[in-house]
Amino acid sequence: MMKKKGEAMGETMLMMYQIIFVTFVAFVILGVSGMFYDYTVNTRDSESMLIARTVMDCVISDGVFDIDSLSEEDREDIFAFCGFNSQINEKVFVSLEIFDGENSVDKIATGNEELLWVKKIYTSKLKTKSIDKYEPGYFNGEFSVNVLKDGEILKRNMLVEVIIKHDE
Amino acid sequence: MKNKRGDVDKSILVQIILVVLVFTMFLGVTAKKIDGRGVRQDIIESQIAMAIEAGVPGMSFEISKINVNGIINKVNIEGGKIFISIDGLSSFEGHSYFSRYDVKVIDEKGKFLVVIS
Repeated sequence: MMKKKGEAMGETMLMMYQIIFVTFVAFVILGVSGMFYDYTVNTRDSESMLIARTVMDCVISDGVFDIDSLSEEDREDIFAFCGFNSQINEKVFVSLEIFDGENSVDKIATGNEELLWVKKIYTSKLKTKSIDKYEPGYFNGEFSVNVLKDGEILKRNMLVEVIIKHDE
Repeated sequence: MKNKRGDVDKSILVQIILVVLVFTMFLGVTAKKIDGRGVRQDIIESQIAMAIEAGVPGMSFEISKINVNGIINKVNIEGGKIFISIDGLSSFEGHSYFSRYDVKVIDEKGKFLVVIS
């Protein structure tokens, strides 16, 4: 009777080992196959360009960027000024910087500023292949604009920068 | 002797059940990727998100239910995200879109109409 109990225990132990072994093999197979079937669909660069265009359409009216019309509140949240949903603030960063020649004369920045250092990681040597798919979408472009400031229309250059966080 | 044969059979049965379980798990996890439904779902969600972002009030566009990417079962917009169910594969993550305007989806016969207002 004792022997039978021992045998049963032994069988249970053996089965447990088998289950652990098979589970381990299953995880290895899943891990390896996951690598082969991994894919990334990243359209964030194109979307950042679309947001840049939308923001510019919003702030520039009839070819003139009327800075005087923007209140301090509007400057702090240009997305709200343009009518975007407040959720955009977590996922997007937008900067509009106005240059007079080489000198920066005004800057309006809105959104998630943390994305700036995330972007920096991707432009530095810290970037690795394993984090490639989490790269934020990015657009920057310089445009010639007419700026209305203190009642005077001035020809200036505007650097538009948009960073979009990768979707979790 | 009979007992040993029985033990061997039982062991083989347990192993077969384990292997079937592992295969089921494996196929369950990889099916979405193997048949490309997940990829097609991501692609169509990204395309629709970009179309919404590029849209202006008064614009609308159609998504055919019998689509080149598969059968579109459901198009849903919720919390600034678009969810598209394709070939029976539900979308849980969705794709964020950023628009200044109201967007709604109308389920019509044979198509989904996305209206920007």
